[in-house]
Amino acid sequence: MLDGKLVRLRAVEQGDLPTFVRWINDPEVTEYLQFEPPMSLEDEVTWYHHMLKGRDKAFAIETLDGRLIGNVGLVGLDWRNRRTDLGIMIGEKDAWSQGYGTDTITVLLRYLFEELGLHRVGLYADIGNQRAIRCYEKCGFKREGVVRAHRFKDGRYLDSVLMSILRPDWDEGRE
Amino acid sequence: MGKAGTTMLRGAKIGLRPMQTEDVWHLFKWFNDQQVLENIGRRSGLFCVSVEEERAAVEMMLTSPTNRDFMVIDLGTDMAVGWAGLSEIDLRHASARLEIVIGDPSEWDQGKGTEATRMVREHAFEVMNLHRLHLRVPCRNARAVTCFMAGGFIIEGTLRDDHFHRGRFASSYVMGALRDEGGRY
Repeated sequence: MLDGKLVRLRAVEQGDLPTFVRWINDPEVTEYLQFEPPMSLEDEVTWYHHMLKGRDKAFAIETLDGRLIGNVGLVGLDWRNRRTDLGIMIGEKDAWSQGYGTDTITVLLRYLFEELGLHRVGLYADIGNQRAIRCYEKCGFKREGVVRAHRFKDGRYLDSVLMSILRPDWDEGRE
Repeated sequence: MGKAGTTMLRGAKIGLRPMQTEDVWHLFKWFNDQQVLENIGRRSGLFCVSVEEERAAVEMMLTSPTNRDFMVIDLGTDMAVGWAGLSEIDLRHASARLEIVIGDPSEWDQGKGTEATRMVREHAFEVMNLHRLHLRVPCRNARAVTCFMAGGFIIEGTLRDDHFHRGRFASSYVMGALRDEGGRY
């Protein structure tokens, strides 16, 4: 478990999956995220078992008093190049805009840089997802460019912003 | 295969190419040579190793994600003269174990082991992005200790009586090399 100021990250358990499915099937929650609803619980169970066996790793995000509000995952963890991408979802809408996402990312980055010794953490944010982009910038991510037509949704292609934070950026932010 | 420049890392006297299944025959020969076996303190095995056992070992090495094995090629003759392997590759902690055997005693004392050590070390640090290499060598094997020191390793400690040799227990050194130390080989 990883504790921050507002949130705790813990391993994902089977019992979390119905909640995840509820979030994924809420169009407001996934407006800017890379999901293809509708998704069934069985789809989610398949993902869960795939994750347990593979390189991807996800954490459940709880408030410090134990309420499950989201999840965050590592995608394509690459030891040789010491990098990973990450994706985050705050699924409970009443938990938006309260600093939970920022605290989650901060706790996770500390773990990735200082415990796992990674050199780069990257992510894609939907170009319209200004709330997320602001959060990532607050955490130390830098914009690297716009990835054109990165995502197809509702009949059209949408651009994404490619962002990353490198280990030296992280160290600089701590000083 | 040995002639194709792109499949080999080339040094001055030797090159390294990936181990292949047919190299079983080389390993079978080397690991049945009493001169070779004398001072390497090989972990497994009672007496001689069979082709079948060596084949199984090679198959394990070639399919294991925690192994990276090379054949040491004499660039003059294009013949395989030894084996250089990384095992216990731990990418999370960026470390691996090194083993090098020059299998033909007539090839000893020509600097080939040292060059192989330096080349594998550079590959491990500059290509595989490892941070640490470690190895175990019997203390009595002065030739190997000298070779590894010339290749940038230092003695980190002694494993007392860690193996049985010629009627008594004998000790080994643990040697290690870190990426950021000792300049550029």
